[in-house]
This record gives sequence, C-alpha cells and structure tokens, in this order.
Amino acid sequence: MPPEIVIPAIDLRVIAPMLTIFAWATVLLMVDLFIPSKDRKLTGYLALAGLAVTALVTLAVQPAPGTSRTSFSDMVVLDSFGTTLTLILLLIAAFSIAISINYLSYHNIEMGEYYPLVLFATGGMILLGQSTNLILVFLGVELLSITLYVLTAFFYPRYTSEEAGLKYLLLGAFAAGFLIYGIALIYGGAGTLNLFEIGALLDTSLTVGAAFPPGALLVLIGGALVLIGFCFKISLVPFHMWTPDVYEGSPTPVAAFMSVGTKGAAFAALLRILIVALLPFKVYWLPVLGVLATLTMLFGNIAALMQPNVKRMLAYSSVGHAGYITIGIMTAGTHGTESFLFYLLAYALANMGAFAVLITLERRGEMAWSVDDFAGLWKRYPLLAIAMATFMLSLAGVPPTAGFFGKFFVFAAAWEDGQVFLVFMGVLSSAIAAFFYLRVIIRMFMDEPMREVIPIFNRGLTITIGIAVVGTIVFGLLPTPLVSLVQNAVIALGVGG
Amino acid sequence: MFPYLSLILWLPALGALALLAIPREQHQSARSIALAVSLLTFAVSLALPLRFNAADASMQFVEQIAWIPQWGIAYHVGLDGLSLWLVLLTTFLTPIALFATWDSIHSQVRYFQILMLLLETAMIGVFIALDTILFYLFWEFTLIPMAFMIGIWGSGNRIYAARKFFLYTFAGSVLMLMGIIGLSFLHRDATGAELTSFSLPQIMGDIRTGAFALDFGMEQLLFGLFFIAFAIKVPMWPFHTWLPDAHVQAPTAGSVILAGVLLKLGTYGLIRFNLSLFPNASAWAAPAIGILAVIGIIYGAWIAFAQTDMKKLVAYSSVSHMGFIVLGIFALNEIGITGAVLQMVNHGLSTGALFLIVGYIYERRHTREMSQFGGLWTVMPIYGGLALVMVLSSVGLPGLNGFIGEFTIMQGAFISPALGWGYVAVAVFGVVLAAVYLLRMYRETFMGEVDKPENAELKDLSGGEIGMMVALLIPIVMIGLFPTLFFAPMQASMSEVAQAFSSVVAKGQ
Repeated sequence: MPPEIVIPAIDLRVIAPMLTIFAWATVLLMVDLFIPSKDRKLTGYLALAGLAVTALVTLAVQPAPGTSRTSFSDMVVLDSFGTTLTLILLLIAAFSIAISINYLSYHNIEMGEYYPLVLFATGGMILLGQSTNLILVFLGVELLSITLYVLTAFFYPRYTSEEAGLKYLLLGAFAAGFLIYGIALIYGGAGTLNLFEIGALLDTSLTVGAAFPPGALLVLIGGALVLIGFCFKISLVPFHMWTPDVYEGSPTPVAAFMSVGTKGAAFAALLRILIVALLPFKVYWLPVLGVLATLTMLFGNIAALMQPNVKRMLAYSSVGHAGYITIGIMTAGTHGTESFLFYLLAYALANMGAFAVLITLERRGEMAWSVDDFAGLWKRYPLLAIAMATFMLSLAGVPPTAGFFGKFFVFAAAWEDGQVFLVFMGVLSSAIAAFFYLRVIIRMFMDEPMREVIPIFNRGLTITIGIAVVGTIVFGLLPTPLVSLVQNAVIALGVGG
Repeated sequence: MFPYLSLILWLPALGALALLAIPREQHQSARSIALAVSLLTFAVSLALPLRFNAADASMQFVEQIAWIPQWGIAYHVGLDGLSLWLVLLTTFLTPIALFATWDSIHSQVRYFQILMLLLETAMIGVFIALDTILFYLFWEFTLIPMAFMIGIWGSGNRIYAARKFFLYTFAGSVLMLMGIIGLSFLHRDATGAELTSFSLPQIMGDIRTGAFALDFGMEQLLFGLFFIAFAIKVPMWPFHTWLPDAHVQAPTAGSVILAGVLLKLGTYGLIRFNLSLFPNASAWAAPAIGILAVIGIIYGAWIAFAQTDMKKLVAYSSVSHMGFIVLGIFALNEIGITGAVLQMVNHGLSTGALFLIVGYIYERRHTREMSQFGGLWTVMPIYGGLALVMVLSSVGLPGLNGFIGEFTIMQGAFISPALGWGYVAVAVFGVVLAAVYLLRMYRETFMGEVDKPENAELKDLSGGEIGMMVALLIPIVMIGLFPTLFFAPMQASMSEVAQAFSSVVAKGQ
C-alpha cells in the first residue's frame, strides 16, 4: 500500500497580499506589451493601482492584534507585524513609482518592464516580512535582489549605473553565499528550517544541560553567517562598501526605493529570525550587533560629513540610519519592535521626500548632485526649500518632526533593554549627523545661488513631496495614531499564537 | 479655569500662521501685525502675576491633556514662582525686539516676523512645560528660528555663527534627551508603575517623598547629561565660545532675544531639572561648578575689557554676568537661588537694552568700533543719557535692578556651605571689572570731543527708540526700588527647591 500523501491545509489568506501583487505584476508585464510606447506612463499608473489593491487586500486579511495565522506547513505567517510592515512597504513602493513616472521619460530610459519589476521587488519584500522558514527568507532575499540588480542598472547609457548594477550583483552574490551556507549549517544543527521549531529546540537544548550541544554550536555558526549575509543587505559597517556607489549610480527613484524598502524588509526578516529562532542566543548576538550598530552610526555619519555630493551624502546617511534601526531590532522586547516600525516609517517619509527633491534638481545627461545646486534655493523656490529643510531636520532627529520621535522611541527601547552605552553612542552620532544635514539647510537658506538651477515639477513628485512633508510634520506633532498602529503590530512567536 | 497659559503660548504661533496670509511685499503690515500679536500676548500675560497665588509653592494655571498616552506623555503646562517672571520677561522683550526690527530688517521682513513669533512660542513653552518631552520639543525648537535669524539676517560671518550656534546647542540637547529617557525609565522601575511617566511634578514629587530614590552613580550620570545641555546654553565657561560669534553676527532683535531670554533657558533648566531632581549630585558638584562659574565671571569680564567692538564687549559681559547667576544657583540656598532668578530677569532687561543701544548707533554709522566714536553725548544727548542709565544698571548701581540681584547672589554664595566666602571674594572682582569695561566703553564713545566729522551730524534717538528705552527703564527702576514686589511670588517655590538641600548639604559637611 503506497504511503498516504497528506496535503497540509492551505490558507490562501496568509499569502493574499503576495498573491495579489505577484499576479498583478505578471499581468502588467503582459498588458504592457499592448500599451503603445507613447502611453508608457499608463503602465506606471496601473502599477500604482496594483499597489492600492494590494493594500486593500492586506487590510482585509489583517488579523486582530496579537493573533496570527500560519499556512503552508507553517512556512508563512500572517501576523499584525507583517501586515503593518506590508502597508509601510506598499507606501514606499507607491512613492517610488510616483517619482519614477516622469523621471524615466525625461531621461529617455522609459521601458514598461520597470514598473512590474518594482512590484516584484515589493512582493519579495512582503515575503521577507512574512516568512517563518529560512528557505523562504532566502527566496525573498533573492527575489528582491535579482529585480534590483536589473533596476540599479536601468539607466542604460550611463556607465555608473551599469557599474552599480554589477557591483550590487557581485556583492549580492557574495552575501547570498554567506546566507545559504549559514542556512545549511542551521539545518545541519537543528534538523529544521522553521523559525518556530529552531527557537523551541534551542530553548530546550540550552536549558537542560550545562554543556553546549554540538547541534546548537552549528546553529550558532550558521546564525553568524546568516547575520553576515543580512549585514550586506542592510549595509552595516563594515559590509556597507557597495552602498554609496550603488546609490549614486542607480536611477534616483531606485536608490530611494532601495534605501528604505530593501532595508526595511531585510531588517524585518532579521528581526523575526533573531526574536523567533535565535532568542536563546541573545547573549551572543547582542554584543555583536551592538558593536556593528555603533560602528555603523559613527562611520556612516562621519563619512556623510565629507560628501559634497548630496546623493552620496544621503547614501552614507542611510548607512547611519541603518545603525539606529539596528538598535531598534536588537532590543525587540516590548518597545523594540514598535520603535523599529515607527522609525522605518518616519525615515521612509523623510528619505523618500529628500530623494524626490533631488529628482526635481536632476538634469538630463548630468550626474552632479552637488550641494552647490541647493545654494539659494530658498530665494527662488521657497516651498521646495522648506520641504527639503523639513526632511533634513527629520533625518537629523530635530523636533517637531517624525524623525525625532523615531529616534526617541529607538533610544527609549534601548534604555529599557539596558543598553545605556548604545543610547549614548546613538545620541553622540546624532550630534555628528546634524552637521551635514544642517549644511544643506544652510546652503539653501543662507547662501546666494551658485548657478541657475530650474527644478522640474510634475504631479508625482509634487504629491510625493507633499505627502512626505505633511506626514513628517503631523507625525512629529501628533504621533499618537501611529504609536497605536505600531503598538498593535505584534510578532507571532509561535504557531497560531 | 480659563486656559491662560495655552492662550499665551499659542497666540504668537497663531500670529505667525496669520502672517503667512500677508502678501510678501507688504513689509509694513507684517511688522504691525507681528507687533500687535506680541503686544496682545504681553497684555494677556499680565494676568499671570495678578492671579498668581504667592503662598502656593506648587504649579498653578495647570493644564493637562493626554498627548501620547501609550507612553505617558502629556501636554502638561503650569507656572510656579520660578517660571512666572521668566514668562513675563519673554512676553515683554519680544514686542521690544520686534519693534527694533522696524529700522533694521529690510529684506524678507515677513519671514523674520514669523520666526520671531515662533521663537516666542517656543521660549514660553520651555518655561511652562511640565512634561519632559514637551519641554524637549520646545527646547529644540528654539534653535531653528534663532539659527535662521542669525544665518539669514546676520552680518559678516553669519553662516559660521549660525552653524556653530546650532551645532553646539544641539550636541548638548541630545545628551539631555538621553537623560530624559533614562529618568523616566528609572522612575517607572522604581515606582513599579506600568507606564513610563514624563510628568515633571510627578517625578519630582516621588523624589521628594522618597518613592523614587536614585542610586548615586546614576544620579551623577543623569545630572551630568542635563548639566552639559544647560551649561552650553547658559553658556558657562568653557562652553561659551559659540556666544560671541552668535551675538556679534545676529541682527539686533536677535541679540536682544538671545541675551534676554535664550540664555535664561539654560539657567532655568539648571534649577528646574538639576537642582530639583538631583539634590545629592547637585551638592556633590556645586563646588566644582562654582569654580567654573567664577572662572566665567572673571574670564568674561577680562575678555570684555579687551574688546574694541561694542557688541562683542556686551556679548562677553554676558558670559561674566551669567556666571553670577550660576554661582547663585549653586549656592543651593534660598537666598542664592532667588537672587539668581531675579538676576536672570535683570540681565535680560539690562543686556537687552545694551544690545539695543549698540544697535542704534550701528544703524547710524554701520560700525561698532569704539575708536570710531567719541563725544556722542554732545551730538545725541538723549541717547547718551539713556545709555548711561542702562550701563549703570548693568554695572550694578544701587537703586537699579542689577545691584539687587548681584547683592543677593553674593549673599547667598557667602553663607552657602557648598560655596563660601572664597568664591565671593573672587567673584566680587567681576563686579569691579564690569564697572571698568562698561564705563570705559561709555567714556570712549560718549565723552570727550567729537573728533570724527562723521559723528557730528548724527541724529538723536527717534520717538520709537526712546519709547523702547523707556519701556525697559520701567521694570529696571521698579526692581531696583521695590525688589520685594518681585521676590514675593518666588519665595514659596524657591524655598521648596532649597529645602531639599538643607539636609543634603548639612550631611556633606
């Protein structure tokens, strides 16, 4: 008698957001063939519609706070942490597409594939936020990375863009190697790839005997390799070397998308791995991440100080911000998770806005994003200057902006967790960071114009900048609704928990 | 109860919003509206001393609304004897500073007025906030308008000055943010409360009743975090280097507000946070801080003496005078602290007036070098007379305000077991030096012959300028002649602050 094949119960609601976005992207890829090239912008609008539909689906399947659903043999989970993250990621993707639509045609790189690629990458990010199995984590990372290799090299005739794509590909492959090797070791040690099971296994094997079981040692080594793989993706120092070059070479909307979206999703997956699977190893990973976070904050901000090129400055500043977010995920006890989500949203608003301002100043066939181009902006385009100043202040963490509360929540979570030294390094590096954010403001408001720069506005950019400014200030004055939102975003620590 | 504090706090901000509706070119109406709003704010704030209950040491006019309930953060404002006169000083100096822009700010006038009004809201907010996060928000927000004022409307090396001002103060304040976070979490853990509380009266009350006792090492750490933030703002020697730059480059109205109110945020914070929350650490640090204060007094005076630029001279005299205030605060007794608070008001009035006086002559001659002047008294007699009174008020002539403050501070420091006569013996040279450098400035500019032909035709003060001076003279003379009127409402709150030390300091002996 042949063995009975049991097909595990499948709950499609768990992957409904991913299903929607992937289906939409696939269909859009084909629909695009029938859209005449002069109406290529329509593809962009359809992609935006897809994001909106995905958001609605996400809201519809959102579980009650504290509850979760798993499916596909517990490989995927739908918890309120995942859905909140998904909504933030969809917002980021929507911003990225909105600022791309005219950018692509202006720079003669308009191709219909661009938008489905962004949707695929977003789907990969959602998968990262929801997977509870290391193989799915790997799948998410690769899905995200492969689409981004294409997107970074999308600026076809520009050499720096090709260089960026190649650099990102090589380092991405390197990181993937670490990641998959680490996953293999973990499987060797634990006999499972499921995060819940790894966590439970470590919990029992470490508490029973005083001796360190060999299986746990393998998991520890594997965990370290996985961490290295993630460090490349979230560009923690010293794994950040690719970041400035890749951001500078990529089309600006892609750089914006990467700086917040990729990072946010990779952080979310890392958070889940650390909290669900490797929590018994906290004594090991906490000091390591603490050192990395400190190095990242200090180095990222100090390197940003020296950049006369605003796009590179924002790249280094995003390295610095990765350090603060790391503090948030390290201390993911009661307040760490919510501080991570709050920070991510505050940072996304400000950084997306700043990149959008950069796009308004970007000239065809030119690759200069010199801080000189911002000189005297206030006299000619006061609203644009005020918007940029708001983003800079939020990134620096000056109240009353959302960025201030982001930093406050991260530092508060760290103090609560007993990481007083990290709080100190955090505030110290914020003081350093103020230097270069302030420099942009000073050039805009207090200097005379260096050369004639006429910003280009279009609907997508204006709306993105508008939403980002309003969001940054409103959440800076009244963060209460956002705090409720992220407080309800609880990570599922067990199956059906 | 009628929300006086919220009204006073938000009126200027609403005025700033209203100014946005004024067309950019209509300079005159922007000036008038801003002045009217600030005068209205001052008028409303006059209700505060009238309705203030001097016998009550606790917070009055309290308003509390939940803001971020998940974290125990609230919109919580109130007034006590410490903040009462400082709020009035702010509402009083802002219209004067705004009026001073009439003749000195000619570009982007509307924006300057908007920033001034926003700054007023932020400064009042610092003095009345009773929630530490709310306090921090206002504290940080004072930076932005001031940095812009220096950077856009300043003179000479304005960008350097604006950057230095912003970065110095910001570096200090992020340390304070760490202190604020630490304080609330330690408080939560000590009291076993479920939520963190950022309410200052709550934390202060728990410290006084002993429900929240800090471990001494932690108390020292938190004391240090707050102290650095405030010491930079005061500014105390050796954190003072941003001050001369900021003052010299700032437009006159900016200097008046900077010296008049912004510096007081630092000394206010020292009393409100360091003294009230960390009595043991304060007693431990008082002798060292006293030494820094005395160094500041002598150093500021010495450097002021060497200046040839009048505005720089007044700026360094601020370093010296603020040293006195810190000395009074860290005397840790009622007399010293009360004197320090009164001296904060005095310094705001006198130094504000001196900056205006320098500003008047700068507008006429576009130089502030003392050597360019001489014999101004004969050309501008009204100006000469008013300037003399203001100089004497700053020097500390009995009968004017400065004397009362300095005398009380030195009395407090003298009898303080934490400091003692040695500090006073050195500090008293500061008073002598103040007389020397200020009177030298007066002699070189106003006395003697009119030896520069450019000065012979200078116009004396206009009606508006005289009005500003007279407005400043009223409180200067009032404080000088009827100090009790001003001391009385402070007494209850100050003795409560000092109470904490009667046991601590005695124990340390």
